[in-house]
Amino acid sequence: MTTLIRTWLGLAALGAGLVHLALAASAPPGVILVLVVIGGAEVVWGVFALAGRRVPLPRIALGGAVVALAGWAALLLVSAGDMSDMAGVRVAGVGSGLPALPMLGAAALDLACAVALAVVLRRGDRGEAGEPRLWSYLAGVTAGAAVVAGVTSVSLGATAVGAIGMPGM
Amino acid sequence: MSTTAVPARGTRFGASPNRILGTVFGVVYLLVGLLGFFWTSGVPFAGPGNGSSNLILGIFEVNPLHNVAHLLIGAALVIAGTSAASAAKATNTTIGAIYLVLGIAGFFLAANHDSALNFLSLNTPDHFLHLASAVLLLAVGLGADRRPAPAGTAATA
Repeated sequence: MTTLIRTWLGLAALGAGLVHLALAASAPPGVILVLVVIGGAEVVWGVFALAGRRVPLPRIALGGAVVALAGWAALLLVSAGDMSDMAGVRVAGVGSGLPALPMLGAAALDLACAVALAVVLRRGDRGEAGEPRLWSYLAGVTAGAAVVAGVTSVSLGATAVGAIGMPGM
Repeated sequence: MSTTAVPARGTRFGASPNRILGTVFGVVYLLVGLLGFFWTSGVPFAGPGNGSSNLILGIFEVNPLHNVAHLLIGAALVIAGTSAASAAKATNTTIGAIYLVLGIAGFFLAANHDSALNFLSLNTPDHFLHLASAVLLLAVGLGADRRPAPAGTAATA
């Protein structure tokens, strides 16, 4: 794995975490805790991925990303079926209470992490051989930050609190 | 056995991602801080403005205190960026973390723009910009200009 890929993974996790935390601010009561736990874990994992020399806990992180993706997909399917009540939570209300665009943005970032982690695990993480060239590194980090900030900003703008702050975005 | 420290890669300005990024960001923030005063006449020093006349480029809301914060942040980044890689790394990481917290808190403040808590007169585009700055400063601050890896492990940027 190269330094840049690990940096991009960290940035993507950070972005997904921020979106999940912003969604928690206006989520239905049944899913606030879930979103806070997922978002918090993504932010912490992202910081460790940025700061470390290897991707931290790659298997657990891959599992977490897949669970987050599968959980949202299941929620959408269940709410589409308008099932009435599950574990005391109005599932239809939960599904419709989570705006699609931010969830899609967070899911895209999680999916990118999951794919990259799967490739890393398949090839075996042998650490980072050599240092990246300075300008390639800066250009790569800037491009990654721009993409993640773009996806995150659009997603955050589509959350309930973002929509209040910037109507129409 | 000698205990002389080996200079970490990137202590020279042209070889340090943190020094380059910190200096560039610092200059931009200094310029934004100075130019911001052209948009803040009649705006209270601390507290939310009216959200229409105090917009830099018609987008980013500021007040005089917000401009001062930009000047201080810009100065810190430039001073650290022109001094040493370790200082630039610490400053980039710290300011990135502050912007991340501000960006997250901002989305909760956005619900009530006129609150007294909005003493920097922030609007949603400000929060987006703070998030982008946070992500880039944190990524480079945490990931670049690190001490050489211990013997037997791979090195990184």
